[in-house]
This record gives sequence, structure tokens and C-alpha cells, in this order.
Amino acid sequence: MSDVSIVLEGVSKTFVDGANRVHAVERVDLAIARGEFVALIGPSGCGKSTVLRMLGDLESPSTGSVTIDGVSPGEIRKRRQIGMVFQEANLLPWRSVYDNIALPLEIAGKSAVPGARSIDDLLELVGLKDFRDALPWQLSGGMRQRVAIARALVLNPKVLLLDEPFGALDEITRNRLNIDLLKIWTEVGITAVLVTHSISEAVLMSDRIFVMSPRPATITTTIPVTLPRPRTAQMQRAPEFFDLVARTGEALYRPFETEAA
Amino acid sequence: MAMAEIGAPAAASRSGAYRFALRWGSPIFVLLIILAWQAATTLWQIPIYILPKPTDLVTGFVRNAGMLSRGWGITVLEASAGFIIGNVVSIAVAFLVTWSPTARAGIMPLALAIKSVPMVAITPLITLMVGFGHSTVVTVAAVVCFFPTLVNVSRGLKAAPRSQVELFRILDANPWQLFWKLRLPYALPYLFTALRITAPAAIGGTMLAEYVASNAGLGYLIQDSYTQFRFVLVWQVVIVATLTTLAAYLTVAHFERRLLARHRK
Repeated sequence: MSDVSIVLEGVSKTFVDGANRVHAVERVDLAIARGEFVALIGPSGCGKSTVLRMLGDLESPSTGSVTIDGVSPGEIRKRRQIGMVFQEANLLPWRSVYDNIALPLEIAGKSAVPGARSIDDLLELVGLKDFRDALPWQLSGGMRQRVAIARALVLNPKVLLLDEPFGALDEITRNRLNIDLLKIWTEVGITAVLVTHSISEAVLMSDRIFVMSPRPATITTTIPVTLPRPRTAQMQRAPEFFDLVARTGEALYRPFETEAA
Repeated sequence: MAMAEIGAPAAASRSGAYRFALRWGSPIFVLLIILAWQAATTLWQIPIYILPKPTDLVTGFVRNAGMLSRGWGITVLEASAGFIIGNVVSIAVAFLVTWSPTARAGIMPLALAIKSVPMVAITPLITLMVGFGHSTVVTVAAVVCFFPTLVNVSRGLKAAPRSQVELFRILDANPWQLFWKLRLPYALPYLFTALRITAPAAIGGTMLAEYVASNAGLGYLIQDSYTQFRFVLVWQVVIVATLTTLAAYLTVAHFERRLLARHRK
């Protein structure tokens, strides 16, 4: 078994809509280690979500290849080894917290999932033990995302894809959820890919940050995050943190500054 | 905090009055109208063929009860049959146009064309095709139900948000699971909207068809009693038909509330 989980080689994506051709992603190469937490950061609409969606087999690359554990995302998806958290919690409004988390188990058929986690353990893990029978409309935005995280983990996937999961939340809630998500990630030991447009979030969460250019998206800079783990909220006030934020910001804003000059 | 405490009792009493108005407002209003009606017809001695007194309607009710209940039974049966047939066919067609663009292109303009023919005009045509009597009445009721249900249900079947469809794809759900666990629950509120429209509409369509193309039911009774100058009976049929339509609507709304209690967002 190799240590590499996700490999993208020369991946490009062009959307064709009638006569219009939009180059969303241009020649992306990257390799993500098993158990690594990486962030893709870039300006809004740059195509970073498209990269994530290719990992989840929601899009296919126009050229290049994507592999997860040596096979295609489609194969990994059919094995139900992808957990995805969207910007919207995407809970089914008529299902309780418990039943929402149980949805993947129902779809997979309980007998077919030997590695499945217990829903009660997951509720404990995401801190929603007392809300198992609540309906989504009764929860705050942050709690709904916690349910979405629990649901993404219930089939014990190999890869956790996070598409701006806390982007719609206020900063304080977001910060708490991030710290909790790191605890969960440490506990379950999963490869995680986070798409974000928040620099401090990328620094706080990841082992490496891939900075992407505006459309067509390509990786311009890779920044290793040297902060020790476990990460804490206090680290966000340390000089090393600010240094990493500054370096990421510089890489992120460079294309715009040259454009303006 | 202090502000909220001062504001609280006023808000509570206002909401009390509001709740009272909500609960008893319309019964009181209806009662007032009936009293004014009785007073006006008595005071100005309005002849019975222009406007009968409410008391005339009540006293005559017992005498006409047999005729009314027979007509009512027939109308309810015909309307129910038309409602069920129209909705079942329409739901089936909604599935067809949702999953086949070809069927959609063929059926939707035709459905719109049928919808655009006035019911008064279509009833004689249906009579020519299926014959005078119950079959025409049921067909008209079914036709009335067809379009609202088709439009609403075909919209409802596409109402599931794209990102939730993608969630099901990530989970490798089969088409059957996608339908039962996602598309159908999202379509239910649209179906109930259609049923709330078509339940009263089926009764209206039934009575219209009975009026012009049948010799039974409440619609026929209006026509028959009118030509026999039995004006009190005309009024009574109108009242029975109105209450029946209201009951049909409330029945659907009741099931909607119970079945969709968890749909609240």
C-alpha cells in the first residue's frame, strides 16, 4: 500500500455550452498523501470547486487523469468511499438528525457496509447527542453542518471532500466548527480536501495549501503549513500563523496585483 | 431585557385578541350577514323568488331533504370518480413528461389546448362522444382535474435541489432510491397543491355537466327546480353544493397538514 491517496496528473476541464467554451481548470498536477489535510484556495469562481467535484466523480476531467487509491473516482464512488460536505448542509428537511445521518446506510443497505460507524457514536463525535430527534429546521446553521459531517463519515469513507462547508456561517461559529472538524479528522484518520476562500481557515486546517489562480484554475503555489498538530484556536494568534497567512495572501493576490499594474 | 419585559404583556394581550379574531372572526361575520339578510327580507318584504328569507330556507329544508340528499349523493360519487380518474391519469402523464422530453414536447401543448377550451363548450362535445348521463359527468370532472395536477406534479418531480441529487450520486443511490427517498418527498407538497385545487374544481365540473348533460345530481336539481319555479330549492342546492365544496377542500388540507407535518423548513 502506497502512502499516496489522491493523484491528479495534467487535469484540465473545459465546459462546453453551445458555442461557449469555458476553461475552468488548466493542467493541475498534485499528489495528496493518505491521511493528509489539504486546502485548495482561490478566488471565487476560479474552478477550485470543479477540482473537488472531479474527485467526487460529479464532473469528469476533459484531459488528464484523477486517481484515488490507484483507481478512478467513479470506482471509489461506487465503493461508497467518498464523503462529501457541501456549502449547504443538504439535509432532507423531513428527516430527523438521526435519520439524515442514517441515509447513506439505507442507500448502501446495512449488510453491505462492514466499516460503517454507529450513528450514536457519530452524534457524540459531532456534539449533537441531545438533538438526535430534532428536525433540520430546528437547528442552527452550524449544527446542520455538523449533521452533514456526521452523515459524510457514516460509511467510513477514505476521502472527505469539503466544499466551502462553513462558508455560509459567521466567523465565530466557523472557527469553532473548524477546530471540532480537526478533532474529528484526527480521530477518524481520513484524507481531507478542503475548498475555501478563507486564508486563515486554510492555514488553520491544512498540512499543505494549494493556491490557485483565477480562471482557468491552476496551482500557482504550494505552501506547507509548518504549524504543529493538534492545532488550537490560540495558534491563530501566533506569529508563525500570521506569517503563513501573509505568504498565502501574497500568493493568492499576486495575479490581481500584476493585472492592476 | 427591560424593554422586552415591558413589551411582553401588551404583545401577549394583542396576540390573545388576534387568536380570538382568527378563531371566531369568520363565524361571527357569517352570522351577522345571515341576520342582516333576515332583517332586510322581512323589513322590505322582498318576494321569495328574488331573495328568500334564511328561515324559509331552513324550514323548507326538511321537506326537500330527500331530494337534496339523493342529488348530493350522486354529485359526490361522480365528482369523486372524476377526481380520482383525472388525478391518476394526470400523475401518470406527469411522470411521462418529466422523464421523456419527446413526450413533453408532444403532450404539454395538447394539454394546454384542452385546458384553454371553456368547460361550457367542452361539455357538449364530451356528451356527443360518451353519451348523456353519468359517463359525461365523470369525464368532465376528470378533465377539469387533469391540467392543474399535470402542471403541479411535473414541477414537483423536478423540485429536489441539484445539490441533494448530487449527494445521492456521491452515495451511488440507484434510480429507485433517488425517487422514493428524494424526488417523491419533494413532489408531495406540489401534489397537495394540485389536490387542493382539483377537489373543489371536480365538484364544480360535475355540477356544470349535470346541469347541461344529465338528469341527476345537484347540478341537474338546480336546473330542474329553476324551471319549476322552486326558488327555495335552488337556494338550498347552492348552499349544499357550497358546503360540500368547502368540505372537500378542508379534507384535502387536513391530509396535507398531517402528511407534510415534517416538511416544514
